Amino acid sequence: MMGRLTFNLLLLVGAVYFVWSATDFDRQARQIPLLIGVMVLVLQAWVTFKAVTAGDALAAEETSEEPPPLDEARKVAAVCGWMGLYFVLFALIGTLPATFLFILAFLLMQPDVRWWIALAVSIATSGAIWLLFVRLMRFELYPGVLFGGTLPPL
Amino acid sequence: MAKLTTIDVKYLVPVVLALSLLGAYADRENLWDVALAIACGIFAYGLTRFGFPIVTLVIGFVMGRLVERAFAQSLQMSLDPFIFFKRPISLLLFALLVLVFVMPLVRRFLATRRRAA
Repeated sequence: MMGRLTFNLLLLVGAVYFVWSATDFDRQARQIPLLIGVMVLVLQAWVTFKAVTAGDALAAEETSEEPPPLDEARKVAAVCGWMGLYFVLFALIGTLPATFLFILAFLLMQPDVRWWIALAVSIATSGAIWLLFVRLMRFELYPGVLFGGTLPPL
Repeated sequence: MAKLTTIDVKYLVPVVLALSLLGAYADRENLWDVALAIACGIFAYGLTRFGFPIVTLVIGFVMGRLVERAFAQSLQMSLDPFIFFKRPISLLLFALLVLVFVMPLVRRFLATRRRAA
């Protein structure tokens, strides 16, 4: 229930920001963004209101049909952590080593995966990426900050 | 090829994750696009988890630019903001749009009345 409400409030804040930023535009330019933004804001406010008022029914539905929130939250946090790790590796050591290390580490952390299968999958994936992107498409993969790459401006 | 569908999910997850994030980087060769793709993934998880349909979002995302361009073009050509209500096809589309919004409300209202009767 709290997650649903928080997420809806987040979307509501997004819609408010959309309308607020549209007011900075010129008079002509802001008409359409304002029109769309206000519609989105009203609809999202309605959805948020419904999430608040129908809280008990939704909470009962959630507990009966879906896995315990704590368990799910833990899994989501784990996947977010893995994605964050991949991004950090990608930025630091470049695309290919990051992909290799990420897949290897991910598979080695799984309970019943043998080390040589993990190694084979990570080598195969990195090799396929190298073949497709570097050899065939002549694409320049990111070298990584530690190997001469630069961080682009945000 | 059909055997691919029998591959254990634990092998697919890291490979698909790596390939999709690499795809996000490859489009503009910008590192921050990878971070953006991760943020969008978390956002999309929230949408799915809390009952927001993803398909409509994707359609809006893909079609949005085209629709916006066509909309601005129509306004510039006609110089009349009510042009969409004066032409039969666009008027019909607007009527359908209103209907799509109103029909669930009408249906719910009728169902409540039927239950009360």
